Amino acid sequence: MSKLKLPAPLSTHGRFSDWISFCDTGLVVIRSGRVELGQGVGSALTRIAAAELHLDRSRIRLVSGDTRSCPNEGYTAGSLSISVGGLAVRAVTRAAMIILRQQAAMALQADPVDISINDGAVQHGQVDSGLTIWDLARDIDWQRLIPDDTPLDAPHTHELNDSSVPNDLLQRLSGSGFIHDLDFPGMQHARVITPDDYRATLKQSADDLKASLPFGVTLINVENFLAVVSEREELAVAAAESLHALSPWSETRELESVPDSNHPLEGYGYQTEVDYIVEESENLDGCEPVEETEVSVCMERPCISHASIGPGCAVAVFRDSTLQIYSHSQGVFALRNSIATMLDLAVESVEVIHHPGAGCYGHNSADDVAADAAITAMQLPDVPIRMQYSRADEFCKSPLGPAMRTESAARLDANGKLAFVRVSVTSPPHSSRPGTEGAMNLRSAMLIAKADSNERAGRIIKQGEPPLASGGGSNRNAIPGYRIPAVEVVTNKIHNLPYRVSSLRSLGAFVNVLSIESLMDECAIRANIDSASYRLQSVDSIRGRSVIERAVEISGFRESHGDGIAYAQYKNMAGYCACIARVTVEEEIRVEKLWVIADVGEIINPDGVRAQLEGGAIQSMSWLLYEQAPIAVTGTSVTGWDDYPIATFTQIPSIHIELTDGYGQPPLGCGEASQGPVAAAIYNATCRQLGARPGRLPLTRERLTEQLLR
Amino acid sequence: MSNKNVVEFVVNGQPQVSDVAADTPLIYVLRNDLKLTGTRFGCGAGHCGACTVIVDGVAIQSCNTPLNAVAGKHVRTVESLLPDASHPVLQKLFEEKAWQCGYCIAGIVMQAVAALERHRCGDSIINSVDELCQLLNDNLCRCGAHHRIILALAPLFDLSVKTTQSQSAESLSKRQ
Repeated sequence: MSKLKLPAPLSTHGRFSDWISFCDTGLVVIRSGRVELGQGVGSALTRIAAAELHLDRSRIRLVSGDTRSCPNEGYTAGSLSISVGGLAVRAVTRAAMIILRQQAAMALQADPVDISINDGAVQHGQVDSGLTIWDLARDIDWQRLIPDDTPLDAPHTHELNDSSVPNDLLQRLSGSGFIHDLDFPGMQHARVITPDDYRATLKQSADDLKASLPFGVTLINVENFLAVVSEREELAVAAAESLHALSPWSETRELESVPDSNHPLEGYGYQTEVDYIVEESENLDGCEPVEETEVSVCMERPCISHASIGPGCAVAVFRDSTLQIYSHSQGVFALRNSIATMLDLAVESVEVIHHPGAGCYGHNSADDVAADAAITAMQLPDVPIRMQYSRADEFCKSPLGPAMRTESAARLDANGKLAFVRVSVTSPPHSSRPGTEGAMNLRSAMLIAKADSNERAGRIIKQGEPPLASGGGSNRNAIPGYRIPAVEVVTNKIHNLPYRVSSLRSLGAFVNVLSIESLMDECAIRANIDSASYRLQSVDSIRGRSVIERAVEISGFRESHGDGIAYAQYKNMAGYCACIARVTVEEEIRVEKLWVIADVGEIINPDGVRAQLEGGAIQSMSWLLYEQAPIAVTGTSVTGWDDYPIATFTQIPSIHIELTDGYGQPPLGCGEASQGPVAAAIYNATCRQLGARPGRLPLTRERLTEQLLR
Repeated sequence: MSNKNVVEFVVNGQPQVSDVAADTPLIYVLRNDLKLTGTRFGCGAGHCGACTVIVDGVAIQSCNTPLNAVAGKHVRTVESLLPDASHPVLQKLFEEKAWQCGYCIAGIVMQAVAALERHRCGDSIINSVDELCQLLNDNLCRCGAHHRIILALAPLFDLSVKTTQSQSAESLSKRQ
């Protein structure tokens, strides 16, 4: 493997002491900015550190996402936790081990090559020296910088199977693993009552509202923000429901346009940006697709909800001038900054400590519920406030994975090969996290703003997204991963949406891969070449080719029977993934079997990687076939599971996951690699059997009928 | 105990007396009063199954079951299977690593435990993988651990599923 540069977090947190501590004998504390979201990153980081330090994993204490002590690594997102955060931990622990070895050699007046360290014990030759790494660590100045020539390649001993007791699961089963389970003396339960539009104002006085509350419930009212607090959770729930039923809001905002829930992208203006262009010999005008040879497809998805099984939750307490917040946020530092700004507090007086929520698939309600807990806690000093969202709030007040459409067109040469491809993405940006575009981006920030104050302007939610060079947002994977003489990629970016957009797992890659892979299948049909060979002839990368070849081999790919294939390299620079889908199209679409083959580079935890690919496969199948969150003015009208079906046990296919050998290559991340290819393979199989490309998701019976009969 | 506001019931073998409002959803009594926080709140409407517990042998949703509905009954929560965790349902789930975030899993465990008990006493037999999936269909999982959960549970009901995770593990280790 070529020499890797030190991961970015080490340039801002370059000292050993930022990351590692040997203070407690028998334990090594590792601090990371990457947080557990249900994706298993905690276990992977622990493995990396244990392998480098030659320690049993039980000796590693991982502290992650705590603004009081951890390095700021930004958001835990974008499948970067291992490829960046994991390599940072490797660099720190590997360099620490080198120093410990030198220190041992000095103490024992030995040659460093004769020193070995096993589970903390130092041996000279094969003889136990009586020294431990904790003895040595005391005499080392850990304030020193981590050397920037620390190698990052995979360690020689690579543990493959994990037979250890699943402590994390036992913890979660026994009721201590989630943020919902935190319990502090004197803690009270809170629920928030929020308008559909975060810019609405309260029309009823707090006194009137208070009068309607039962004994034992306290009303919290800050400008237009309303919450109820009670020692008993069920009383807070009932009070919030009764206040919500009074609908005490004036929805004042005049909407520029009322969105059509069936056509969520219509009615907005947009700006067209050219993302990427490759012109071979002539300008693109000369390459305009000729009528007979043009192949074009369209793919549009509606808004998608995160739909985590557990609702957002946070615990906050304001005590001794410090606001302490437990949150399942993906970015504790950004959240701290936004909450400090919102409440006009010094950043140093706000502490955010990560604690796991239910599975997180992107920017969900975590930040908002933490802000709501903080606002409430400020009104009741010294009382720990446990704020939890209702299922309805979780659905309709959370930011949404935005609707988007990608049109792809190709011109083929005389041999049926791709001559020119144009990809046109129409989408809002995919992010409105705390800190995006420098905005607070907390839902309740506007509610607690004073009326007639220009501070309201600073509290408008702003949208943005990462540039293509860092993986892109709506244009993620919009560049086809194939050898094509001329390519043009444009994004029609929609602004001023009335609802909040979210960074939902894989951002634009889901629709873009679907669209491009649908185009590839259509081109293969036109060229009369089987769809696997058609892809293989245009994939340059050996690693890309090998996942496709393996998928074909292992599945016994039967195109004539209606199997579908798809391939993509996530972000055009991360994990390679190919999928083959076997599908039955009858009254409903039933996925019988999926083969998912991936190369994600070095594998830290094989089972964790497979779980991520498998979970991504099932989730993207669910998005493709079943999910839509209709827009109702400022959010979705979905309030419960009845309105938002997701894949259930009877709809789950048999799944075969296989990892091709990426050992020796840097880790590329795996959490979002399967999303696009799996959905596209299912879609291609479906289209082959239907003999049509419906193009609008989800592929429910109702929506298919409507499109096929048109 | 003549006071109409007092409800007597048994939780995980321990007799309990509660004087909270009789219409209090059972989940809040379990989680907040008895500190049995393994039971998960998901939706409050009985739609997602995260809060599933067993009452007199039947799996029910504790988020929309009022306390007075369990008066005089035996409630079992996931804590009844801990800390030794030797119950076959747990053991099989551990073997297949059949969870991701773990939020839905307590409800699924309780659903499966109730069904396995009925299956084993011949009361209500699960005859096929399809029937097993049907049984779990009201337990939602968002991370996508379904396939592993089925692989884990099927053998307990004497059902066989073709693929197993260990096969994919083999195909990886062969190349190392």
